[in-house]
Amino acid sequence: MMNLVLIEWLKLKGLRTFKVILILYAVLLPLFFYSLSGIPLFKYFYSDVIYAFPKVYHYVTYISSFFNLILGVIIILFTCNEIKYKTQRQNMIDGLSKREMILSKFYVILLMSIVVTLYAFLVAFCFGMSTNSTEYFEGVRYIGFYFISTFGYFIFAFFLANLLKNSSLTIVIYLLSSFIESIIGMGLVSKEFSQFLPLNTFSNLIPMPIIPDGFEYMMTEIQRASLGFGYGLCFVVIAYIILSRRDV
Amino acid sequence: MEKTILKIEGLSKNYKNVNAVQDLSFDVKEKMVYGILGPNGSGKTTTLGMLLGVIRPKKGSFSWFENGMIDANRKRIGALLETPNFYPYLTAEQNLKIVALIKEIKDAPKEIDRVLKLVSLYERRTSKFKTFSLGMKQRLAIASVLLGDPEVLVLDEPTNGLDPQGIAEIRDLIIHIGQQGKTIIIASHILDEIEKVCSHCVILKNGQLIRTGTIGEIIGNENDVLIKVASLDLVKLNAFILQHKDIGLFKELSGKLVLRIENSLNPTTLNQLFFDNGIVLSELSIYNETLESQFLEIIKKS
Repeated sequence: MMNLVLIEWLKLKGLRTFKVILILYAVLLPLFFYSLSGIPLFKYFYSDVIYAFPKVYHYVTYISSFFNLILGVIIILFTCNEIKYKTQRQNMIDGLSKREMILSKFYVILLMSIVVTLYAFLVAFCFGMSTNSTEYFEGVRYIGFYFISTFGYFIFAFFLANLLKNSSLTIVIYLLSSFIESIIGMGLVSKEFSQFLPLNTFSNLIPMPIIPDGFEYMMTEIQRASLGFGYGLCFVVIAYIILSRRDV
Repeated sequence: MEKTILKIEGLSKNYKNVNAVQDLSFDVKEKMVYGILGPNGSGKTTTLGMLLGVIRPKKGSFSWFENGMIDANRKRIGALLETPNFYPYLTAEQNLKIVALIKEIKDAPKEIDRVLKLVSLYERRTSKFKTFSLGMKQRLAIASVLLGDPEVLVLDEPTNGLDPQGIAEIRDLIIHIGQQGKTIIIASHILDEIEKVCSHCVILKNGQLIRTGTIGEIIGNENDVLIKVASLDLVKLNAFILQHKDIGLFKELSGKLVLRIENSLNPTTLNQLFFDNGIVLSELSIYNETLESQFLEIIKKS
């Protein structure tokens, strides 16, 4: 396993897009969160709430989840590059199996989700510490949900990249996919049904924090988290099936 | 008996309506330098792609090192298929490091330096792959093939894109490696290349095997002496040859005849024989058959 991770790390660290997107995320997340204090609504009604424990975890992860789509682009480019440069083919010629090809990217996705989640935790924790609140780990479950949500989006991006192979097409479909899912779910079946669909499941893990939710979730938080994780694993398996049936 | 390095049995692949490879079977023994010959689109690359695990066979099987089709076999093979495939944004050294990790090569930094020196790219080791010329890319691919000193080399058009000097260098390198007792499988449509480098070869056409054997067997002049003759009276010449059992017609070559003669004859006695029978030759020379001309004929006939 370490060997596969090391191989992927060598490939990733030379990729400029990877560094740029990660740095953008790292800089923009705390700045954006801080800038909320300048918006009148927050300033007058919520400012003592959003930066304090326990709410800070929910707010930070909610804002951070906007970046999931952009971070997913790293996964798409990274995966499609291997197809475009035929290095996926070369890696296999050199001795990797199709299972290892999928596993090595799975490890990257897992590690990237962990890193992004830890960073979101760090940001939330620092903002929380700057207030007078002391319930340090109250509401920290949102960090766990955020991890599953991020992992889900990344795996979905990886699955799409394997399916479509072309990076620009994949990015467009990826950005539109929540929209497409809503049309399928709400438009064709019902709003109740659509909450069970994968992308909705990932995004419902961190619901909108301000507006009191009028929507009735038919699942508990834990059920949603389990379903989200299950969807993530399904996407890996499907990606493996796609690759194993393909001539590379 | 030498060890069988590769055994292919009934390998087939089709793309929609095209049969790219049909029911292909042959063996490669240890220490052979094995050529796979064929015109464009004859199924050479498809065959190698299947043997290297990137194309799924429709039917049939193959076995490397008497060890089946398992993926780990490929770690013992140095292979170049079609174009050199590397990460353009990484340096030559970084690219080889990835290959070394995949193949689990011990003492990788030293090994990487060694192969880079072999293909004269050591000075450019910290340059990014995308800055390389076509020839340099091909040389890096050769370096990658040689990394870890694998037991078997599989080369698909190894001199593609190289200049004449580069072609000669790589060819010498392959001959040198073959002499060290490595098994080499090499696909090419450059016949000169196969003839100079290989001991055995298989000829493919439309995905089917049409000839296999040693280079000598295929060229057909292993035991016989070939003589090219011409005469003003071709009819008489032809008639005489048909009668004489020690002389066989090997082939016709633009109005001249190439003859296969028995050991009892040599150019001098042959000339005498013709003269004694009233045939005056306008040309007589030792003929060296090339793989190229034989290949073209085999392809035409089949």
